[in-house]
Amino acid sequence: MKTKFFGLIGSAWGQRITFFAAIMIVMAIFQPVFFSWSNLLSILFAIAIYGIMACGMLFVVLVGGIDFSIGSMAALSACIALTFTSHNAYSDGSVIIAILISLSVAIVVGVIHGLFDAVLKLPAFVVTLATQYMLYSLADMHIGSKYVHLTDTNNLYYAIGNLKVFSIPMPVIIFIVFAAITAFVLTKTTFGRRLYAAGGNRRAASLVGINTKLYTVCAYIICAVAAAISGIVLSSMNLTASYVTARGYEGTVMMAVVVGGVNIMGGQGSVSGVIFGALLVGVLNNVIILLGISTDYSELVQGVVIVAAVALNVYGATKKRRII
Amino acid sequence: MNNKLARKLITLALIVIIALIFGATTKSFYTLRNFQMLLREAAFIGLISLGVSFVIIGGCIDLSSGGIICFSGIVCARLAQMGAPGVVVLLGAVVAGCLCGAINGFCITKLKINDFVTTLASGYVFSGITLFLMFRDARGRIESPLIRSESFLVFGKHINGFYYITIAWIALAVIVYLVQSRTRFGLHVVSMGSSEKSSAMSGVPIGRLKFLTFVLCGAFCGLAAVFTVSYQATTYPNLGGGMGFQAVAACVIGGVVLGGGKGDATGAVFGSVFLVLILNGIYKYGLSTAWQYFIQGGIILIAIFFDALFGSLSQKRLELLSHADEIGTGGETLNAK
Repeated sequence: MKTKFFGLIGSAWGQRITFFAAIMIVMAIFQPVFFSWSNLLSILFAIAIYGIMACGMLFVVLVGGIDFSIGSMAALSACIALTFTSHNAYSDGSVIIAILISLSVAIVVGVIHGLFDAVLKLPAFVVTLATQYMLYSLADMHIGSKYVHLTDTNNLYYAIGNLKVFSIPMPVIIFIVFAAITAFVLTKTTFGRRLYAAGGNRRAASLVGINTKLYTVCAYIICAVAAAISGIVLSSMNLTASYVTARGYEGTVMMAVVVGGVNIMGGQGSVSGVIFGALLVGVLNNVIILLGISTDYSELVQGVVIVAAVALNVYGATKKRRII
Repeated sequence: MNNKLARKLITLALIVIIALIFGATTKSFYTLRNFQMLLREAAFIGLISLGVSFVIIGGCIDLSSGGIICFSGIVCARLAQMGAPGVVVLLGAVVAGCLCGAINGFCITKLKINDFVTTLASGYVFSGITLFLMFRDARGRIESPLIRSESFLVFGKHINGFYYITIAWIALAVIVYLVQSRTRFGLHVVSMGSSEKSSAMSGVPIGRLKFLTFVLCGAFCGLAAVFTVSYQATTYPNLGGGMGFQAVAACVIGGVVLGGGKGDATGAVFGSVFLVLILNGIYKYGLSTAWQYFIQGGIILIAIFFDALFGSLSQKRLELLSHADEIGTGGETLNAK
């Protein structure tokens, strides 16, 4: 009985279900408001934003890289998309063109990151940290003021963040579609399998004939585009964008990825894990606010939960090894 | 010329070139006062990156140094406000730093959690704990009272313009250099960073060493916090914000390679001088903050680009040399025959 119980705790899904059951019980006792539709909806919004970014980040972490610039990428793309949606000297206000421009900027940024990592072999950690500074300042220079607002609430851009299809909000649908595509690409296509191979052992993969450089660049492009999409969704939800949009999100997204059991050294990880990570981070933020814990301590709680979650993961892994 | 020396000279040359450019294009760069301030700021990042260099050379990474500084800073302020003598405050902050480092080391060596994840999360934890300890007014808002303890404020003073933090930094850099290149502990850390597996097989106590590098890193952060809190005579929740990343960036720029086994204290020193020099010079131009960040990011990129370029060049040179050796020995044997 005892070994069975620990086996369940050790398994990844056992942990995840136990954890959520614990949160549900605590919230049911202390704050039933947690289960109200409007609260669940606000959690879903947060999860959608973090989740899209985390799915993109998953690609980069799988090939053994890391991208700290996603928060600033989201800010830049939101600023670009929002300025081009309004009628001005440069634009006739076409929403689709505005979004395409913003996504192509993201692709350029992704290519640059990828080339720095794959061809020049610079440490991705420092490179993306440096580009993080640069992207924030580009966003700042681009809008030239503190904020851009979405004034026209009658167009497609407004719909991205606020439309509801069968009472499911649009950001959540975008997240689900994005996650589904990610899962499909990673598990069912040659591209996905080779991505895992390239991340697991770059040298072995290239000896087998996989163009690891190409896959690394692709991973960075996908990550930057995912960040850009979530930036656009976020700005549409908030009806505003500035260079502080999504500031510091990279830390939260990293947590989601790590808690989801993705190996930070590359080659291991799944979309379901990352979605769980995003769920956990979103729910945790909400719980902290609802329980009336001062926001000062939210970082402390997040940090402790992450260390605990990862320690449990490692504990489970060592248990399994001992049994074998 | 040997490769390691050439690598250092290149960083040094970059520093000199940038200093010359800033000096020629701005008015107040070549002033004694500016150099004193520059060295004081470099000493703050420099002390941290000395500690971080131990961890990186040992093959790990520490991103939590910002959080440790934050925590040691409030320990400093609390002790000083209680009227503890300066030396006790200094020891208290260093012990607090060591404690944080020990927590990191415990999670990494005993619980076997990835170092990157541990220190990213523990950085949040340390700055979170700091908020519990912060001074608060009657309505619970955070306030930053001035510290008046004379014996503590001594640490922020200077002799003939040389701040104590600068003197401590240079002295410690020399000591760290000697420790890393001349002592058994230092050489063990380098070998651990080069290959953990083979050093473990040759009897190097990996777990204990790794733990020690994190504790040392914490101690250096505590020391940096003492001097800075004393200079500013107060502390605030954002003390050390972003320092974790900057210290690592300084190390990497100075040639302390992420992944371990390469680089030494001089690299950490040059790297931090380089970073602070850029910030100082950009500030002098009076550009908007957007441009400041842009240029700072760009220059970091260029610096590591040069580093990588040099790395690949010296690799090629080594290969060429080894080929030349083969040809040379071939020729000699022929002659002998």
